[in-house]
Amino acid sequence: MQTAVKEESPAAPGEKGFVRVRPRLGPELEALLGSRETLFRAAALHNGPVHLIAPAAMDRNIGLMQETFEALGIDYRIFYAHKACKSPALVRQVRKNGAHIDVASRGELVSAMSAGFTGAQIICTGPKNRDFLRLAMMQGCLISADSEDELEKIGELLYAHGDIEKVEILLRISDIRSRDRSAIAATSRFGMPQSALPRIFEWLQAMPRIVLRGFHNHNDERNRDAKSGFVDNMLSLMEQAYEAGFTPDIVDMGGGLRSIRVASAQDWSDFIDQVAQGLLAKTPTGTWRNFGLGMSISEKGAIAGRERVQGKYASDEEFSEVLTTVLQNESFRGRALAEVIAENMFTVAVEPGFALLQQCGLTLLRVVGVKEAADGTPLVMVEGNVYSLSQSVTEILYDPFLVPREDGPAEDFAANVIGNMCREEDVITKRRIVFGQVPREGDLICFANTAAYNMDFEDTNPHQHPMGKRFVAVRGKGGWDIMSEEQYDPYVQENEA
Amino acid sequence: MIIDSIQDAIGRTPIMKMDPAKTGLKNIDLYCKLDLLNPFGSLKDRIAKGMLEPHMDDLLAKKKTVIEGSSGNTAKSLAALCSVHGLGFRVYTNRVKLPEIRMILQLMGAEIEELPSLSDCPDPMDNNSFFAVADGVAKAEPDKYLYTDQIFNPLNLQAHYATTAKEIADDIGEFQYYINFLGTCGSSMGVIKYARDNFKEKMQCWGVVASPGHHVPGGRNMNELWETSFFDKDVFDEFIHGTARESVEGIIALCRDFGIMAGPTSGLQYHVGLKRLREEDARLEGTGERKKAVFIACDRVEPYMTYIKKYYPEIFSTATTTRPRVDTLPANDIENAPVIEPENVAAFMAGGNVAIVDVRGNFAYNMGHLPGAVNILDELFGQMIEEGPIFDKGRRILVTCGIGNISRKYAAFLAAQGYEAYSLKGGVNACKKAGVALEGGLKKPETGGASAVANQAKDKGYVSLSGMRKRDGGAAA
Repeated sequence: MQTAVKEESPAAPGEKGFVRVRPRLGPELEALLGSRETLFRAAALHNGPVHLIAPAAMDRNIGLMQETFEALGIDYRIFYAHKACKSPALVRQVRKNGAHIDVASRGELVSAMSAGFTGAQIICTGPKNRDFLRLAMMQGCLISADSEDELEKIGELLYAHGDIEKVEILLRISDIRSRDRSAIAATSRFGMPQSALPRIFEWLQAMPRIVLRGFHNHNDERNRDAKSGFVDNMLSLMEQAYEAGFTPDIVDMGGGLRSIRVASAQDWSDFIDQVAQGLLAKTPTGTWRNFGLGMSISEKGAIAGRERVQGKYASDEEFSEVLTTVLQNESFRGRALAEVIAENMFTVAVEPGFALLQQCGLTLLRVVGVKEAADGTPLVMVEGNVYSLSQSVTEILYDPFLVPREDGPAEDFAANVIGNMCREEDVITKRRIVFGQVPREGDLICFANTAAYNMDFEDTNPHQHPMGKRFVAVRGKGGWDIMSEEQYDPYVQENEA
Repeated sequence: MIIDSIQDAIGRTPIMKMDPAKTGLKNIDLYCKLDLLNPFGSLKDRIAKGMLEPHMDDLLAKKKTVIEGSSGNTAKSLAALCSVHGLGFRVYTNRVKLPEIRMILQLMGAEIEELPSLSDCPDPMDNNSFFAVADGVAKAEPDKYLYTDQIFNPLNLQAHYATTAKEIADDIGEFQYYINFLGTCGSSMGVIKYARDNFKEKMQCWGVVASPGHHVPGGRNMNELWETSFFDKDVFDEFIHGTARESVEGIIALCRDFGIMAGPTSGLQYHVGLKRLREEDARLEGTGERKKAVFIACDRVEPYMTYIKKYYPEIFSTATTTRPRVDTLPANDIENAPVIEPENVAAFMAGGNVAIVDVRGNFAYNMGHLPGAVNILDELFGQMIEEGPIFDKGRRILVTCGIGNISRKYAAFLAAQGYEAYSLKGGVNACKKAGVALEGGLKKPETGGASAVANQAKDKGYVSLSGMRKRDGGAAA
């Protein structure tokens, strides 16, 4: 059994001191962080967490993805995963870049429609109720059917009324596997098993108004060979569908493309080392309450679960590189997947969220004050809580920046940032962060790269604290313009920039 | 030498003194322990034997299945030993990276259970690491399974201590430099422990690791060494990093200079180890001192051809025939291959005396092709036209593929042979987009035909899918 680490000693820095894990910064975020005046101007607009959206970064991300597919020589459809951020400004930015959109609820569908997307540019994913399905069908959206139950709903809605001529669907597959191996993707709660396909094909043959356009699978799999194997599996399903008399043309790989979050993968590895060694030696790990990031000590006295956390930020692979190697893999009967896709005139669809939102935003939390925990650990209190910018307690583990109102005496100050909720778990940085001076009331703590799944994914307002609010930062002629999301129009702003 | 079992051929491998004329070392004798000569091709034969031997009576009595988390040489050795003893062997892994290794394991009758690898959005509640799964299987039914667990099993280190290290010391005495690739670390730590216990003089220990981001099969990079229980950072005097390409450069040197047909870990040890040894050699120059250095050629090169090809493709691209070949066509010729635009296809065909070859897969051809096109898969077509003429010289040839990239090569080749040959620009895809009439295309079967479901749909207008699921014995929605 693992014995508890002595709680009375403050988390000591260890030999190396507290490891710094610097976030990767795109040019927009770097420029914003360099403009203290802009950040304070933005923070003054709202009495709570402020999220700044930098839509220009998205042009670069979408452009890179388009170039990647162009270079592969295959037809493609990029569906931005709206679920990753509620921001309507970013939805408009996607529309302007000519990409399409993936919506997972009626609300997201309405948001996409109000940004100008037409049904033909929208895919609906995730579990759906009748309300969502009906609107999607009326708009002519592509629907990725998540279960047989959902197919039934689609059939009933279609055949109960004569006002919708047809609906185009993908079948989402839950148990994707490689053809020549037993490897399967991790158990997924989305989609339907391949064993149901003969029945579904039989049913679809009798339902000519439901048009099978292809198959869909999402996996977070990091291994490129495995990812290739899953695409290969979908190509075999396309073949089966053709044999059953259908003419599908879309192979949807889902999202889960890699992205680089930290400036140096080594930083992250060093941090994990420090935590792992602390856990093993039962000495302080440099994290709040010796938080182990989900790692534990196995009965053999070794660290268990490290592989799960190791890869999260250690990636130095651009999504373009991942997509290219996955699709160039010669795994379909010895032929490159991209070749098979191109020669069969198929279209590859993807639903990237993080990949398109990387470097698109940052979050500002106002400092309330500084105190010490019972064990002496310095704490920086901020207006906001762990859910203001994080979908889980382990989500943001790279360093935030201190943006002081005025420069104080330079001094390394290692502290945890804590929120304003009544729960002990509301520790925003489980890592001790080394600030260059002691934060003071009214200073800002700035977290970079928060647009995807962070800034508003789980925001709530416990204790009636104000929730976060998003604003858009656009670089105009005279510096940064900060505006409300409603004011932001990429077509207009582009002309002014 | 007569032996009763292949197991008896494990170990006692020769050690080779590397020719100084080829290493360039003047003051250091470099030795290579030829563990690639073990019967199943690697030094892991030793630990497979070591980990099974103490359990053998029990394994045989209960007909147990052996399980392991390795996906490389250890699996291969265990598969072979289990197989000859009539025992089952199963591998749990999160991916066998090399196709040849997979095939060898399949050849030996091993079961391969591949588990999902790692997610970018890790679920902290997910406990399915393959070590944990293998361990769990063995614990649930201890009378049925033995989990050899090479990365924690002290018999691993012990096997190297008692055999590998001892054999080297018996043959050459004490040595001063030990160059060792860090993987599971069983051999490294076994030899280091032996030297500590038995040598009078301190042995310099250099750990060779793959550079970050580089994959050298059988090894780890610094960030991955935490995975093994044997690794102890403090016993190493220094770490030397090397790239995948350097490992292949080492392989080439070992194969061609010494006839040592060893794999990537051996290659990297030799390549980066020799570079470092040359510095030491220069330092020793004129001191009159003479030192010995050792590395182990861990395994054989044959299973790594795909790997070598990936990092050093030029080795395999040499033309072996004087006949013109498609893949040695100058890039410029391919770039400038004559093309037909989709909108000019009709006019081209109207000109008569035309042969159209569609080089895509059969599946794609079935879905739609230019009228009159014959389907010959690209590689086969390439072989055919390299062999000799398959068209009359006067024939006008149009080669088509999906997007016009592959067909260009063949059109260029034919043009270079004096044919009037063209590539379809943008391929069949572009024709489809331009509305050029295509032949083929799989048609939907007529609904309302033989299918009972379709008949029912015709009568009622709608058939319930959940009803069909009930019919098939599944749970109704």
